[in-house]
Amino acid sequence: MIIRLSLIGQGTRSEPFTIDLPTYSGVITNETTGRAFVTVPDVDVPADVAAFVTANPVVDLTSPLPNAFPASLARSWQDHLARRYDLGTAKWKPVVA
Amino acid sequence: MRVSSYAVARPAYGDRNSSSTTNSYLATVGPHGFTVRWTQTIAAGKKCLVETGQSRIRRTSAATVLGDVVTEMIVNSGSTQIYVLNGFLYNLAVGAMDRVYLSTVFTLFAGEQFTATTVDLSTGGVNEIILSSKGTNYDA
Repeated sequence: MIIRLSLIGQGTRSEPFTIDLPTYSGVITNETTGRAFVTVPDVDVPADVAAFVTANPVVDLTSPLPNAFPASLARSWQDHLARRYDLGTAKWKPVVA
Repeated sequence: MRVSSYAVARPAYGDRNSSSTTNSYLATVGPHGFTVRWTQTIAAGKKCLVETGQSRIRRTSAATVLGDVVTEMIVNSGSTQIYVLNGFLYNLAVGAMDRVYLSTVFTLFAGEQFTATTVDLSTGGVNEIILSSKGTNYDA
């Protein structure tokens, strides 16, 4: 599904703009607002996060999110990714923005 | 009486819970810093055979000040990186194009990341950029 997420990084070779997710594609960015539209595999998005994204639609990279992304859902997503990839200390902390 | 062995050949990779995986980026973009356009991470217990990939850069409007336009596909394996594809365009002419294909098939192992990055160091102007790959994920 397509989700608007926080962009991290500095835009340099050593710290490129990127998304804190293990797998994604089709990144369209706005460096000024620090947001990006990203295509994320459905299996990487837990049902509660998917429901939040569906309930809070956005059409551009500038307007604010209708409701703040709850910390509980952020933790839910982190745990989901950690279980699914099972790569030891590798952790991801994506934020719907 | 029929006699058979317990030793059974392991199924081919394509028969081990396999599925296609595609990574794609297609956009018309102006100057920008280094930006990761897609990333694929291989989960524990899996491998991925990357079978094809391409980069295409085509200038669609001239820059005011010309700079390098670069695409890269990189495999990150632990602390090391290997560049498996580089696209490069340094041309003001509208319609100028660079097209590069992955030159070989390779396997990604658990924990490795396959990443595609773009950068346009020009001032002004726009390029259409395509970065895509296709592979097969399967049980290691």
